Amino acid sequence: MKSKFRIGIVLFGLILPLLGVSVFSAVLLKQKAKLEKTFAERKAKNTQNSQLQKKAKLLKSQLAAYDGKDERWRQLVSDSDVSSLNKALKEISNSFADRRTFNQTNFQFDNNDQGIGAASSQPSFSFSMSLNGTYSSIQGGLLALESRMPHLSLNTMNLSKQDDSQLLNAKLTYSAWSP
Amino acid sequence: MEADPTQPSNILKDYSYARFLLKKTSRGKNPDWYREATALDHQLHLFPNPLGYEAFLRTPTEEKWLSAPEIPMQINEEQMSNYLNTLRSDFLPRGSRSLGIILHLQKDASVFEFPLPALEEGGEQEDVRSLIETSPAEVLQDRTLTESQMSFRVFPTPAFPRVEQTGFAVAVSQDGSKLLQSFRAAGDELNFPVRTAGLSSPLLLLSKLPRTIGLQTEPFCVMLTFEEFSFLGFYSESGELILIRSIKHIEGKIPQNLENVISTTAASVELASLQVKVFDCRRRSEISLETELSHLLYIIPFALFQPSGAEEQDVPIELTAWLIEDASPDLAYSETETFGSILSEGYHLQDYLPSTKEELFSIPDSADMKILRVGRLATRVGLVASLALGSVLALSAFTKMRSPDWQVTAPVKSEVAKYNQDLAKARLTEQMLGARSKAWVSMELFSRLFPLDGSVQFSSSSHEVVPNSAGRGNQLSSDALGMVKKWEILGYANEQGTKSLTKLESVAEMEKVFELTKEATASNVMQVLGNNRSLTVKLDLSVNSNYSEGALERSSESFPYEFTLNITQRIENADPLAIPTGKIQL
Repeated sequence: MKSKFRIGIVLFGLILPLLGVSVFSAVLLKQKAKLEKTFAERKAKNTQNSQLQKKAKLLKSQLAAYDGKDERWRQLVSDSDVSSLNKALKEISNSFADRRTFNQTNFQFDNNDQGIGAASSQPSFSFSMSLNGTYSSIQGGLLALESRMPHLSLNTMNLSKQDDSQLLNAKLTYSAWSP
Repeated sequence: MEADPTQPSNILKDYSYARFLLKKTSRGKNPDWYREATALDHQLHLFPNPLGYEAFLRTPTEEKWLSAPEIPMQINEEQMSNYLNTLRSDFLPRGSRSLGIILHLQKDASVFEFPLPALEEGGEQEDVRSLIETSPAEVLQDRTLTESQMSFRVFPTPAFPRVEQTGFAVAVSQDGSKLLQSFRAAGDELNFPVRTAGLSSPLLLLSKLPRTIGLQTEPFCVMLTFEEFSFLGFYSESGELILIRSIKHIEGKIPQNLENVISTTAASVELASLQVKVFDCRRRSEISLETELSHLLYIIPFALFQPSGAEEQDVPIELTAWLIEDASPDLAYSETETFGSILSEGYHLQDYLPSTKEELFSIPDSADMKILRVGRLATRVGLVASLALGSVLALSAFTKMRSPDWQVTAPVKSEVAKYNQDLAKARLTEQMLGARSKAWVSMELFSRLFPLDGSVQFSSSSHEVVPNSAGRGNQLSSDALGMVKKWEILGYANEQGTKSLTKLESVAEMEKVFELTKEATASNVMQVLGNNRSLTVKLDLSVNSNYSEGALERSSESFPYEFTLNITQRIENADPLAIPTGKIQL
């Protein structure tokens, strides 16, 4: 004779309590997993932030090397135009007491990009100029010009000796980066 | 709180009642609630007499049977509780966990043969054994028999000649069932396990006494004489039980046709030279059994026996037999089926007066209590484990939330991106403004190409810088473009000057000149680098067609040779001074 109590005992005494405990445990385990996941995510984020902070520090120190220079360069390019060029050439010419040692004979603005300027997306303009003078004066004048205006790049340079003279004729074309 | 068997079962109520029993009684802890009465340590054996029940107590600590207070024939619930309390306090040792009440049924024992083929050999024996308890009329094919008046049990007779019948049904009246029920109820009330059993005295004695008379050389009959009947067991010479028979006494005396009954029965199973071994099982007798039998058995020899120890104690023969160990080496026929497997299966201890269906229905069984306990334990363990898990989780959460890692630091991604952008812009600007082609540097190169001793005279030069591919709007395949820088220098040289010029034709020598120029100008473009820069030099040296020995010194006609020196510097796209194709963000 099967006990009439069996179903009630198995159901209420075994299955339901164990089910309840299992559900409770499952909820706890889920919460635990959620907590672990959140913690891991936060930790990973912090680790990433920490690495980024180090990187930021490194970048900042690298940027420090460009302090001032960068701004000056960009200013130089921003202000790059024919008038500033002419102004510089004039000042350099005036620095020579004897016009025969350094004399600008020609300056021509060329609207088309040429040479080095044409190789880049950076806007540029070209110009050519002719000089005559002694070798050292021309070199000195060009050193002064190119140092003062580092955004100039030489495309061509033709030098020829004047007949029966120690003077040189120089014809140069440049590309100048512009804004 | 009682479960009513007449009401439809309500599983929640059933469970509540089972829990109540588990909590308030010892049913969950004391397995004796569900053990057989004959298996308990403490037993009270009852023997009916005209006035009531003679009682003998047996405990594991006592070697002898203790005479307990006699129980009146009519006893109410209160008296029964008092009796049980008296037994527990005055007779049973302290801490006794249970009591088995064993009522020896010696008033009657009727034997029934099974009609063919009701009982067969093999697997159906167990079915018949349980079926006869509930449906004796069906098994014995006799509608007059009912289980409400008599209790029926099977008793095997292994040596019966008809193979299809291996036993007989033995029935006893149900006198005493109320008494045992009253004992059980009192036990429930006192929360003290009282288990009961109504044992047939002849079956119990037949399982013990025949083995005490020693090995026989011929078939024999064991005769157990009680006050109201005699019980006969016919055995083969090997000790196997052939059949059993019950003879009702007439007015307290053995019937006159005893010899006829024995001889007829023996003849029916083809037994000859039968001897009758008689055991006097009566507690009260006016005349001796030997005298009575001597007037009844003339031909068949008989002999009276009594088990050893019977004389020492004035107790019923069942109690003497009870103490006989089945495994004792002094007993005969230990190898027989009759005294082997049949006894081990408990046929001689069958309960003729078991608990009623209502009693069984109203109490959870041992399996129920076990499931309930296991469930309670499992639930508690689960709860503790869950709470432990919860505590660990809470602690873990507390620890983690206090950890510095829990507080998310301010994001610096945008800061890094800005720095990266600024750095890229700065580097691009730096590269864009790189001194890749300067006129004064080229002029410095010229001045270092030739000796200053006048052996070489400069005439003219041309210099050109050509990017690797040029033109805005072209598809640029690289972040930067290399270039080719060409120098062509024309001039004149004397004999000595040609030696200097010839030396310059060597690339290694030209690289030295470039390095010297680099040192003098600090212009990196003149540096000779490995893979990204290469130099080629070509010198055309020829006789000056305008040479004149009398020409003015240092004039072009004064040099016997003229030359053209071509220098080509190739700068690859990967070179730091390659032309950036990008645009400066101003």
